[in-house]
Amino acid sequence: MTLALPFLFAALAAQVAGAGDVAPKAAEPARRLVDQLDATQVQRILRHGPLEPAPPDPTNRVATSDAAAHLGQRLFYDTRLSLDGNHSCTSCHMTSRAFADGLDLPVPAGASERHSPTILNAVYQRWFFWDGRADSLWSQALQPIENPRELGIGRAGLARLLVEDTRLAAEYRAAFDEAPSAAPEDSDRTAVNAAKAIAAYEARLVSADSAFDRFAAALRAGDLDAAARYPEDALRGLLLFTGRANCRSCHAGPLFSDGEFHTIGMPPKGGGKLRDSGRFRGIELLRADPFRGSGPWSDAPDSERAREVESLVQSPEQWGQVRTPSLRNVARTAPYMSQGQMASLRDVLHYYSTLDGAVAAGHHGEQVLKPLALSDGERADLEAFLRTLDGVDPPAALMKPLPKAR
Amino acid sequence: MPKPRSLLRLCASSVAVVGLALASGSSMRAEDARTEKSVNSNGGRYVLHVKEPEGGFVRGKPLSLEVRVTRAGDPSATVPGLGLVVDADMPEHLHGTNRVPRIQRRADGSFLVENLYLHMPGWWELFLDVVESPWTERAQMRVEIE
Ligand code: HEC
Ligand code: HEC
Repeated sequence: MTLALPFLFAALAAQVAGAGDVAPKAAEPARRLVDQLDATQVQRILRHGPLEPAPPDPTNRVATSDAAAHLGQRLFYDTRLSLDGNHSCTSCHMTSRAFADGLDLPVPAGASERHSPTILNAVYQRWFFWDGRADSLWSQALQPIENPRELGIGRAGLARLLVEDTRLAAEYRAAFDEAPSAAPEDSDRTAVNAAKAIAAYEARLVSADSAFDRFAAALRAGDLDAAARYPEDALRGLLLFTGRANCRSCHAGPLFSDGEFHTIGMPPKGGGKLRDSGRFRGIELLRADPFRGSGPWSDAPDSERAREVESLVQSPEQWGQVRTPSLRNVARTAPYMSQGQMASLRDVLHYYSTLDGAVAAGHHGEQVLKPLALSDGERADLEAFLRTLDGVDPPAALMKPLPKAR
Repeated sequence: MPKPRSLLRLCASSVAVVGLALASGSSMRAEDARTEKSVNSNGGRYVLHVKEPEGGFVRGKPLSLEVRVTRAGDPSATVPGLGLVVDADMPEHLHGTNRVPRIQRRADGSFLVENLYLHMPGWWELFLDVVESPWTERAQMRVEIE
């Protein structure tokens, strides 16, 4: 038997012959549920996996270079990138917290208006930040470096660091076949290269192989015994997710995110009306970003990927829209939402169930959500499903600062 | 119970199609595998012959269509000198596409529509507005994205 999946056969046969005739041999409830999946359900489930290798980023010529990723890892954990010398990328993207920070809003230098997202699997995104104002991982990385409320060393400061620290200088040379330079006419080039190295490191922070992925793989292979090892409540939750609750309409595809921008009416932190302009302003910022993929610092400004920015629609309905977060590893990255408004998955599911306190983005806003009125059991099932999206961490060697001596 | 072989084959082939669609759009090499649909414009003046994207309408990928416009009652001759405007909306969600499709008129008078990007599953309404100055006449088709 090549492609035929026995359960599909069983499900269709059941429709023809009446369910009683094809009662499954295995009595466990999960197996029974698996046996009952119909073709549409299977098709929808299989759209969420597997997580294939991320698409290439031609705007970063070192995106897959080992030497660059090595330098990038060095920089990611280096507190000298901050003005106060105490913070690095990992202050807000902590290895122990699935590369998020566990806070509603990050504390260093205070006053950030948005929650730190995980950067696990960020390489799969097309637009970065909640408002999508960066179109590559490397142009994204320049922003905290520049922003005094985050790290703030700036491009010139970063170039100086790379010149003055002999090991960083050597690693830079290994990655770029040239020496770093902090001369005024060169420092942007040096800093952009360093950001491309950070991006090369981040591109390796991939986390897949979750319990859900193993279930989907078993389903794809027609191995029903393996598929039936998936917890029954999680499977019921998954069927809600792809069915009545229609979460998949935004949390689509293998990332459980369509990579696009929506509003779910989430009340802003501290109450009141929507203040975050979200995608509406994000597009403007992206178009004005000198480090965008179609700009002078890109390694492929004319590539199809770089030029996608030109075709973006900007419209009033985008006010307040944020990018649909990926749900991979979601159980490990509380709190939730773009300002960390929701403390737990329970709270999130309560919100989708009731839309309590939802704020209107404006009369042009999209309308996808209706209160789902989920029963306690349904919420528990959805949560059980979301908890099966925790993936395996990247290799241990990538999860810590590089050793000082080599 | 007799083995319903045809059913088995039916579901095997539907799984094969899913599999192909998942293999990132590399499906269906033969050009003629693309479906062509005829759509009457809403005012009845034109028939639009729409060659659907290779691999069909799928979510989250830039899609290309070919559109040839003929006058109602004369399906053979492509009408020259027309303009075409393409847009898509999700009527149930009250929003449109996030990217502007690129439209090119080719030497034979037909249109190549590229970069049509449908980011959500569900019902999309595709609007194909034929511009023949001073009129614009709309044709529309329903597209279901899984
Ligand atoms: C002070 C805390 C803080 C520091 C330090 C920080 N980040 Fe972030 N990071 C954030 C916040 C908050 C966001 C979301 C901001 C927004 O969307 O406007 C973010 C977003 C990101 C994203 C986008 C992820 C996505 O899915 O779109 C990436 C990638 C990232 N940071 C990498 C880095 C790197 C690399 C560094 C070091 C150069 C860094 N961050 C330093 C808090 C921080
Ligand atoms: C209309 C599109 C849409 C639908 C439908 C949708 N979501 Fe979301 N989801 C979003 C957006 C956008 C956010 C971020 C909102 C914000 O930060 O203000 C989000 C946030 C979340 C989060 C928090 C993730 C994080 O890391 O912060 C979870 C969990 C979640 N959604 C689960 C679900 C579930 C379960 C369903 C179905 C019951 C669902 N979503 C339906 C768009 C959607």
